[in-house]
Amino acid sequence: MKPTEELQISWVSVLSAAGVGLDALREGLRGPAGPPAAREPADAHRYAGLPGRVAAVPDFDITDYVPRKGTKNLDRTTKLGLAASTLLKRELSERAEISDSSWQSTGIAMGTVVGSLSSSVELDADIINGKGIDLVNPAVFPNTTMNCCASQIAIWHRLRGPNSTLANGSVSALSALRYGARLIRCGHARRMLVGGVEELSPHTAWGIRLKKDVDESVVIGEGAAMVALEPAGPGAPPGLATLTACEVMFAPRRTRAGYAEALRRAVARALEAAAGVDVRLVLPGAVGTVLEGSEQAALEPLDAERVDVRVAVGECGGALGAMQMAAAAALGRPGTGVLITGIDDSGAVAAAVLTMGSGS
Amino acid sequence: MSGARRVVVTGLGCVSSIGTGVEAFTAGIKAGRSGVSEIRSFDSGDFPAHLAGEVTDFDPASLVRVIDVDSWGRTAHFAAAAARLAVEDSGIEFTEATRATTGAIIGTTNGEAPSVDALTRQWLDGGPSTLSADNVRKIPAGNIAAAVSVELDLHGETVVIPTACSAANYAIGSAADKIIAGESEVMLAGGADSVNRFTHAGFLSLGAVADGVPRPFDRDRTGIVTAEGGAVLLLEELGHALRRGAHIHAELLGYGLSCDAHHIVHPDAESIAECIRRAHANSGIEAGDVDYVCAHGTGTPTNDITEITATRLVFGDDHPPISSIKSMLGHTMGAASGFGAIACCKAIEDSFLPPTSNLSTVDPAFGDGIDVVGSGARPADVRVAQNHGFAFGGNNAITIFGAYRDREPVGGGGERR
Repeated sequence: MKPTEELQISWVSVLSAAGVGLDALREGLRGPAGPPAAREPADAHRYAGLPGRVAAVPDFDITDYVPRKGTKNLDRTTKLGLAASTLLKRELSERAEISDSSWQSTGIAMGTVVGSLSSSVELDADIINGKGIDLVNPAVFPNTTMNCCASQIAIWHRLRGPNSTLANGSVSALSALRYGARLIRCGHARRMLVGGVEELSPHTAWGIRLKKDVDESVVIGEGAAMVALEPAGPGAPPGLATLTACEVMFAPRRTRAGYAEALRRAVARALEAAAGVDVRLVLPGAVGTVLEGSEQAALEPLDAERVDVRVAVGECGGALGAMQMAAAAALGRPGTGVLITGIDDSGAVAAAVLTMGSGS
Repeated sequence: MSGARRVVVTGLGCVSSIGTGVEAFTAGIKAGRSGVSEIRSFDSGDFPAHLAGEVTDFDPASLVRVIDVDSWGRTAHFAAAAARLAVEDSGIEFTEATRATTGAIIGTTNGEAPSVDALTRQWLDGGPSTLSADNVRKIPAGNIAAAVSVELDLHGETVVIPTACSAANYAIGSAADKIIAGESEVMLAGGADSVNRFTHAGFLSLGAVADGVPRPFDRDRTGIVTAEGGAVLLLEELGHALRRGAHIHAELLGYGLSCDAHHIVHPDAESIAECIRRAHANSGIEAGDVDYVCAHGTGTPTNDITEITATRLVFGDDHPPISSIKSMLGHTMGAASGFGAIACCKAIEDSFLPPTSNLSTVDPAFGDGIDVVGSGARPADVRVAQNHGFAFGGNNAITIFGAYRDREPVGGGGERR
C-alpha cells in the first residue's frame, strides 16, 4: 500500500440539464441563471401541481450511447450512469492508449442518494394494486437495489474491478471519490470510475419540494457525471487534474453551528493537504438550500471566486458532487486549485481540492 | 511504514431474530435456533409465502441513548442499536481525539424500504402532495450510517455502502483500510436491513423464496426467507486496543472484492473464486490456512451450487467446513455478511463451528468431502475464518478473520499487501 500515492483524474464525462459534455456545462455555468425552460422533461404532465420547475437531461436516449438490445428494462438512474460511463470510457480511450486488460480490472464507485426511488415506488405500487406479484416484472426488480447502476455499468463494459456504490445524500459522489481513492491506495484497484447519478422523477421531485430544504426557486434537475481516477506518473494517460485532497467527515450535532464546524474542519484538512496550491475557485454545494449559511460560515475566510453549480444543473441529489467535479474541469484554470464542498442534512460533510493540470 | 498497522475486532453488536447482543446471538447460533416466523410487518395474505426472519421484539428506544427514534427509519434503528451494543461490548471510552477520526461505514440492500412502502401507500391513497415530509426525510440511505454517528457522537467519515447483499463486508473492509492507512484508530462497520413488502415480493417474482424454512445446502432447498437486523463491529488498531487493555475477539486479516460483470442476478463461480483468492492474498494467508467458511449460503438452488463450485476451485479436495447461518436467521440482506463476521469472530474466540440448520440431505451435486456442519454446532479449533458475501450485480466481498496472537498475524506475517 502507498498511502500517499498521487492520484489523478484522467478525464470526466457529464450529462445534466445543461446538456451533454463539458462545453454545455461551462456554458450553463457562465450563462443566465437556471437551465432553459426548454429542458422540461418529455413527460411534464407527470409533474402537474408540483411547485417550482424541473429540468431533465435534454433529449436523453440511452440508445445514443449503447446498443438497444438489453436496455428495455433499465431504470433511468441506471441509464444515466451507463451513458456517463460510456462517454468516459470512449473519450478516455481516444485520448490515450489504454490496454483492454486495464479496463477489465477497472472498478466503479457510484454515488447515489437512494438509487432509483421511482423504481421502488412503482414496483411497490404494482404489488399493492395487483394484490401480490401478478403485476411484478421480475426483470425490473433488480432496479430497486441501489447498486443496480454500478453493476449494470460493469456488465455493459466488462469492468471486473471492485464494484461499489456509496450513499451519502448530497455528498455521495465526494464520498465515492474518497472511497475510490482509498481502494486504489490500499491495493484493491488500479483505476476507478467514480461519480454520481440522480434521476428526475415525480417521486424525488415531490419529496424535495415537500421537505423544503431546497429553495423553491432552484430547478430540480438530474444527471450523471463520472471521472476516471488512477495513479499519476509514467504510463498514466494525460491528467486533467490531480486529486490533491478529499475529506469526508460528520457533524453529529446537526445544528447550523454543528454543520459549519464539521465543514470547517474538513476544509481545513483539505487545504492543509493542498498547501502550496493556489486555490482560485470554490464550488460550494449548499447554495440555495437551508444549509447555505453553515457552508458560508465554514468558507468565510477563503478569498476566491465562488460558483454555484445548481445554476446550471439544478438540484441533483447524489450527482451533485460529480457535477462539482465536472464543473472544476470546465472552469478551473491550469495550475490552480478548485475547492469543492458539500453538506448533507444527515450530518455528512465533504471537502475536496482538485489541482487542475494543463490537459484541461 | 503503515504495513505494521493491524486491525482487531474489539466490539461486537447485533440485533437479530435469534438474539439481541452478541452473547444471546452466539447462544442462538450454537443452539441452532430459528428466527423465522410468520410475517407481521405487512399483510402477506396476497403472497404464496408467509415467512420472514423478523426481529419481532425489537424495541430501539430500549437500546439507543441519543437518537430520537421517531426521526429515523427502522433500518437506521437497527444500525444505531447494533453500534451502541458494539461500543458497550468493547468497553471503549472515546476521547475527543478518537472521536474526531472515528466514523461509521454501514452496508445495506434495501435501505429504509419500510418507509418507502409507507410513502407508496400515501401516494396511492392521497396523491403526491399528501406525502409526509417527515417520512420523506427518512428515505436517503446515508441516514443509516448517520444514525450511528449521531448516536455515538462521532465526527469521522460516515457513509453507507449499498452494495446489496455483500454490503456489510464492503463496509468492514473499507473501515479496516481506513485504520491500516492511518486515517482512523477506531471505526464502526457493519450492515442493516428491514423486512418489507417489496423485497419479499421481488424475490418471490424471481422464484427465489423458499416454500418453507430456509434449507441451505440441502438437496431439496427451494430458496431464501427474507430477514432483517443490524450487525456492527468495532474495529480498532491493534496498538490502540492493547494500550487500553481491550478484549480482542479476533483479528481482521484482510478482505477481497470482485465483480462478475456478467449478470444482474445470476452468480458466477469463477468470479467468486477470484474474490476468495484476492481475500487470501490481501490477508497474507494460503487457502490451506482456512479452518472455516461462513457461507453466503442463501438456500437458493443456484447460489449454493455456485458457491460450492467456487470454493472447490480454490480449496480443491481439502475443503474446510462450510456452513450457512442463514439457515437460522433467514437472509438479512445487507446485514448478512455483518452477522457472518460476528459468527466468524465468535467461532474463533469460542472454538466452535456454527451449524447449518434444517438440513436433511446434503445436495449430492456438491460431491464428496463437503462438511456443511449439518448436525449442530461442534467444537473445533478455528484459527482462520472466511466470511462470504455475494450480491445482485455480482458484487462479491469476502472478509477473513484470524485468531489474535500477540506476535505475528496468523498468515505468517510479512507484507500484507
